[in-house]
Amino acid sequence: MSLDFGFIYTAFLGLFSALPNTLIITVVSVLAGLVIGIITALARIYKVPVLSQISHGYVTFIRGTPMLMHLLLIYFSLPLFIDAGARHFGWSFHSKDVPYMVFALISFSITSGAYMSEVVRSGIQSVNRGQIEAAYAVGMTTWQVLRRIVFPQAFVVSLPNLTNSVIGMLHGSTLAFTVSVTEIQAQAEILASTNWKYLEVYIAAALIFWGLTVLIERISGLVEKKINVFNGGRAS
Amino acid sequence: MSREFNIDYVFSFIPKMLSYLHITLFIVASSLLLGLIIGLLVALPRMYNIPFLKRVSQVYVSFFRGTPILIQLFLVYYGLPELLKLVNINSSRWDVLWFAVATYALNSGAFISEIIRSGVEAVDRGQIEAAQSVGMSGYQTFTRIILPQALAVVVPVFSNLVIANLKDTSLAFTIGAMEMTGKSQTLGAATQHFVETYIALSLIYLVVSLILQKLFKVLENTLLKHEHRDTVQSEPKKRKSFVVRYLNPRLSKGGKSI
Repeated sequence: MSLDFGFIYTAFLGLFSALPNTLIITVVSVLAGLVIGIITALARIYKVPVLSQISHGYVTFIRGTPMLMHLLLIYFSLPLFIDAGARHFGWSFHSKDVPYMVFALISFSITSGAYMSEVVRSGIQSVNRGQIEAAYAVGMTTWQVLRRIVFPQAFVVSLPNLTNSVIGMLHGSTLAFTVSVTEIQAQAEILASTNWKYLEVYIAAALIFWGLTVLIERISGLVEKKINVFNGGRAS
Repeated sequence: MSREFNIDYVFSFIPKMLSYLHITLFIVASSLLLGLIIGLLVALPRMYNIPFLKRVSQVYVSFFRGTPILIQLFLVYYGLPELLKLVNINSSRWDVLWFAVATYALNSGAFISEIIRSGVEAVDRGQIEAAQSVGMSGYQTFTRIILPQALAVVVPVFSNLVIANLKDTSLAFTIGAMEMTGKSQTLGAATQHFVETYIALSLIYLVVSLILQKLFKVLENTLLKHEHRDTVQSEPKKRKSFVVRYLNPRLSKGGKSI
């Protein structure tokens, strides 16, 4: 096998220029997803009339279809809406002024939101109902109950799922290459096709992702340990 | 970018894509089957603490869980022919489908080995000791005590894996495999009606994954029958919710999230 080990290192350095985009996609989609997830999860837990049905449909659809579909649907349909709006209201910007990155961020946030919704829901439902009733009994408002009693405990329980979601979004960010966002996968394709060294480049890309994933798992492990100390080791 | 939206295209695309559904399902089924074999082989050294092999299997699992499936597809696509060349096999005329199957098999192997491990570990050690003390052999203990309980615990996680696998197959088009997504690319390019193509494709994926979910739910209920038997009168629901609420979050570490 003719593997150019020197080039793996070169590719490794070359791929680092695309790392910020990968991280931006991951962080933004996880944070936006968390906001969407909390809203949809609360809507479903409190059975808010119309909102809970919409949330249920949204979560089912997103979890039942590949992430690639969400990206391509947003990428091809959002411009139609923007251009229709521009024609109708006389906006000064058109779909071609929107950077590709924006489409990726919107679509990944929507994807992540559905998965986060399930993470948040299972976390919140793991909190003992008696505690919530007790909190109400001592006169806390719903917001206080959520903030002081439910969320801290739900966070501990859902940390492993949360970590999985973060890793899932990190890995999912590789799909952004389909809409021409230069993240690691796209950069790898560029490097590979200009140097004709495909295997080496993808080995380097895999090493970067592997390293990032292990790092995220380590950090999550440390956080888990910290929280469990705080909880007297009875977190889960 | 693409032409005016026309709902008729969605309906005309669905049958065209459905004719490629069997390839998608073939990838899912064959990769799961191979993954089951790989997973078992990988889980064994870790469960029985075999010195060197244990490390190898740890690295394998960590690698395939720690890298995106897209990168794995390209690694296998470019790497496997090189490896096969070492043993004098020329793979240049193979169908790309086989590279997709190989990737998904290696990928699910890593996840399945974790599922097997967590399933076996979920069975109370005392039960195993009890089985041995009444004179059961190792094989009998496994098939009569461990397997039935481990299966019941593992089914929800396995169902997640199967559905994740189904969705992951949408990436096989990147190496040129002609499954549903690959077909949708050509349909979209030919008609310039991309939105309709992807709506049609999403609907197919949605329906297939909902059907799979239902099937696994039925299977899960059948396997959990023994959990209900002694508690039917008092608290029929509590027993099941225990499994769902406490074991699932712990085991979900073995499943993919997206």
